[in-house]
Amino acid sequence: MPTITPCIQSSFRVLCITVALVAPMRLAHADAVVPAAQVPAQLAKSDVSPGPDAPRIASARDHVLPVVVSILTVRQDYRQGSPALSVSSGSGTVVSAQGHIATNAHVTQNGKSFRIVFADGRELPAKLVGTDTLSDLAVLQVQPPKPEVFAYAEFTKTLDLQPGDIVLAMGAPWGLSNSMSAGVVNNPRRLLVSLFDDESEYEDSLGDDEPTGRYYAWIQHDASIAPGNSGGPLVDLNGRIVGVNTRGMIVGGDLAFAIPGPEAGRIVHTLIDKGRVDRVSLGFRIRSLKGTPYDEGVLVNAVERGSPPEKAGLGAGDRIVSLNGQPITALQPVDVPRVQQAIAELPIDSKVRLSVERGGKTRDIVLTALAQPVERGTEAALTAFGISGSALTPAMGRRRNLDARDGVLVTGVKPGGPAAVARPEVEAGMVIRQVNGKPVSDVADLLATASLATEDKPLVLQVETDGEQRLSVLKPQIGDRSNDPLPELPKSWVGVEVQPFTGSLAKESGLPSAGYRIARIYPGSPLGAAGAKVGDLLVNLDGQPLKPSNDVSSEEFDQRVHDLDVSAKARFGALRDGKAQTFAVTVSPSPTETSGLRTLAVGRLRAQLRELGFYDRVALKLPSDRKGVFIDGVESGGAAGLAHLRRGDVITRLGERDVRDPTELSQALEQALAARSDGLVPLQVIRGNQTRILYLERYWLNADAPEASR
Amino acid sequence: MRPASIPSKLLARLFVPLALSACVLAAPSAIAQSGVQDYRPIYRSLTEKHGAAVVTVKFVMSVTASGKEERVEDRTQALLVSADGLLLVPDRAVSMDFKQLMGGSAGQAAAPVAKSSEFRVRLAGSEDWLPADLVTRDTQLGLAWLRLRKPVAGLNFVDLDHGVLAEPGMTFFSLLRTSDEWGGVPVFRSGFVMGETHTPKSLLLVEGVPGMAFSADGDPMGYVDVDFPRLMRARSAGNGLGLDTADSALQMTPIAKVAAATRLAAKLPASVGH
Repeated sequence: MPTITPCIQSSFRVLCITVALVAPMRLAHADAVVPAAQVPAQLAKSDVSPGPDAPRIASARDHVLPVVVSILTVRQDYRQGSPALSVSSGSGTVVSAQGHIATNAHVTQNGKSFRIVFADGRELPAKLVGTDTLSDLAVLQVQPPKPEVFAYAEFTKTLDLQPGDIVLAMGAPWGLSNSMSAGVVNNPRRLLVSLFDDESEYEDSLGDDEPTGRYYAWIQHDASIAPGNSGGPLVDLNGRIVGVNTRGMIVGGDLAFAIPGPEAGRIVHTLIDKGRVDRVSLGFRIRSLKGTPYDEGVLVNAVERGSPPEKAGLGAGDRIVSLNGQPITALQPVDVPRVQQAIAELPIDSKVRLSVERGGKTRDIVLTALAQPVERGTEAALTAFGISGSALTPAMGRRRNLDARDGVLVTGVKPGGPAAVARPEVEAGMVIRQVNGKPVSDVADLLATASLATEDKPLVLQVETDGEQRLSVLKPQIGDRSNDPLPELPKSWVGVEVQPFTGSLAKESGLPSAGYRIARIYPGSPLGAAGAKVGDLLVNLDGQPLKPSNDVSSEEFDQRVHDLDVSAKARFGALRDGKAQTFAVTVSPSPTETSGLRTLAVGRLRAQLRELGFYDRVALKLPSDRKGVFIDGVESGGAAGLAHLRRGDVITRLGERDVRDPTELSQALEQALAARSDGLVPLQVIRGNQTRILYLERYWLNADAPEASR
Repeated sequence: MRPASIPSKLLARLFVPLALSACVLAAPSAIAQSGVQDYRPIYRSLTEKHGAAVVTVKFVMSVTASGKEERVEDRTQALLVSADGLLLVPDRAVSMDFKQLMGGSAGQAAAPVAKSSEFRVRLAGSEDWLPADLVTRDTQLGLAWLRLRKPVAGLNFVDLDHGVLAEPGMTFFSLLRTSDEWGGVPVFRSGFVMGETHTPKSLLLVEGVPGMAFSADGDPMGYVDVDFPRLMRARSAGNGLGLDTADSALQMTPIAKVAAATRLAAKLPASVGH
């Protein structure tokens, strides 16, 4: 079966080839509060082909599309053991007058900040209310500057979809807001198990450490969706929200999958009320009766060794026929989620009586319904250790067949960082269990140990790897390191670029002789100062001929110049319009090249900056005395990225101050932040042949500060 | 020597890559034909004289991509050239300007530059990785110099001021040190000076391996290295069946130039990262 992936639009296009689809099941009533008159004018023109359903499509659109929003998420992931910010987008629906937005959990995953773009173009910040990764649903709440009543819609409470029913997908595919597509329901109860798959492996295929979709069957449909549609509504022709578009196929045509509306509605309202969804676990896995002679009950698929159900006598292959006296049956794999849901919704810590059949005999087993443990631990960057790590949960430990049930799972290692140079190195996949003999149960424990180390007394880590308990000696690094410019021995320079002309090429080109034709004269050029011009043909240096050996490389000329001593006197012989010229020059030291310029990584901006160099000014055609800060790189999700700064921009002013170098920019930034103002921070930027104004939001600068101080 | 067991068709398929790689790395057949068949005395004297000056350096090379620093840990060989811990390394291990790789001129728009930091040196016979800092570079010669942050007393080093002139037809010997996975032992390889050019600059074209080239008597002859931009251009120009392998040579910078630049570097302080 082709890979099915979540549907987020990311600014990193290469990371975002995923497609999300949703399939509607039964339709519930959607009470879109916004009247059609408030729908933006451009939405009143439907692209859907006219036909008998056109009026119903238009009606459904007018009910729901006005409350469909785009969600911009600044997310923090971890690469090479360090945090990395990026921007992604998804879709959502306003589901309360208080501005609650229903969307997918993977749209808000790792989110540091959220912005909601409404159908009318208004943009407001939002906060995360709650997330339920097991259902892939989350709720945000809009944070308007003053209290506001929002138009909203509701999920259907019943499902009656049939294959062939027309459905509408609304959202922001590829970040293109206010988009709608139409298709039909392919299958209103789809489990993502093909004819070739083993249903018992289904849960394991749902997601790393989070079996998303365990509790419902999907609505499969073919309304076109793309990355960015995730979290957007699937709507039927009655204007009801019948699903939440969540997943799609990378290959194989328009196949989309939606979380059924009734389930989505229940979970969303639980998140609004409690901020979380409580579930229980009985400690075993089930599968359908498919392939067995039975027509009642469900089969026990797996029981963990040493778990309470095993101790109570439950084993793989047993058939459970009732739960607390109520018959349960899953004839086909698609029936299993409903049973899973019935178990998950049992009261926490309640006693559960299972009627179990084995070998023709039936007996009762009583288990305690325990609160479902957290499946995935929180990930964080531990800069002092040069790693990113996640608290190991028992579930994560079981999946990795680890002895450890707690500790810190190393998820990434910074090259050259403390973990990478530890003896022996600490690698991704290892679990840090002890530091200096003391147990480490989570990330906070590990961070607290960093201060125990000294230059002479590093930390001794006990790590679990491949079933072995090993020791590693690590010196934490406190504080950031910046890159100094790379120094270089002075090189001689005469300040020109030349084009080589061999004898034969010179003849064909109509030049009087072989030599190097000046193609550019740099500002401050010693040859320029001596009177040389573009077009002059340099034919000798200190009496020695300048004869290129090929037509493509001027390296010989450069080398002849470099062989001169810095500050030496030299005489170039040249031809101009066939007449001999002589240029007496004093050789200069070469301007600093890019590698020799001072760089600075500004954490608040999430950008790499450096001095404006000589060759930058030349490339940008700037005066030789122009000062500024060159943008060498921008993290898309950082403050600089959000302000639309780009690599190659030159910042000349920030806030109220001119900035001439990276240090001054840092100072100007701190000064702007210290100012008592809630306004935007303006940036004056040279981009190409234009000078532009860009703006920084203050909260970007604070929210995106790195975790370097740890 | 061709192993008899390798089928001829496989040999034919391997011919092109083998021929290209042999030009760069294989020991010259001329040595075997010259009558000097037994290198054991040279190995003994060379390793005894300079073995401890050849050390391993680890470093982290980083480049900014989309505003995010990408880091790669790497390793290279270094030569101790002073008693106070000055180390000679190839500049390609310290910086790499992608504009040069692409053949661009200085005046063109800036391209990413990969830079190295966090240099650590493992001296011969030591278990520790000692921190070192960049002193300076000479991008024309393709050389850079590091200095141990806390020099160890009694360091064995190579005096570059006592070199010999390398000429076409000469053999030379290169000392290397294996990684600690191989015990950190010295190994040596022979090389051969194939020719000399003054275009685009004065240097020797050699077969061998990167690093300091020594005469059989243990005198430094020059620094052998790969010119990556040139090698890439040569490969793109001659990667067909024409098999013009003449440019597939390493280059040796004459010892006089290396020594002169090293004298300048020795006067400079290290640039300590903070």
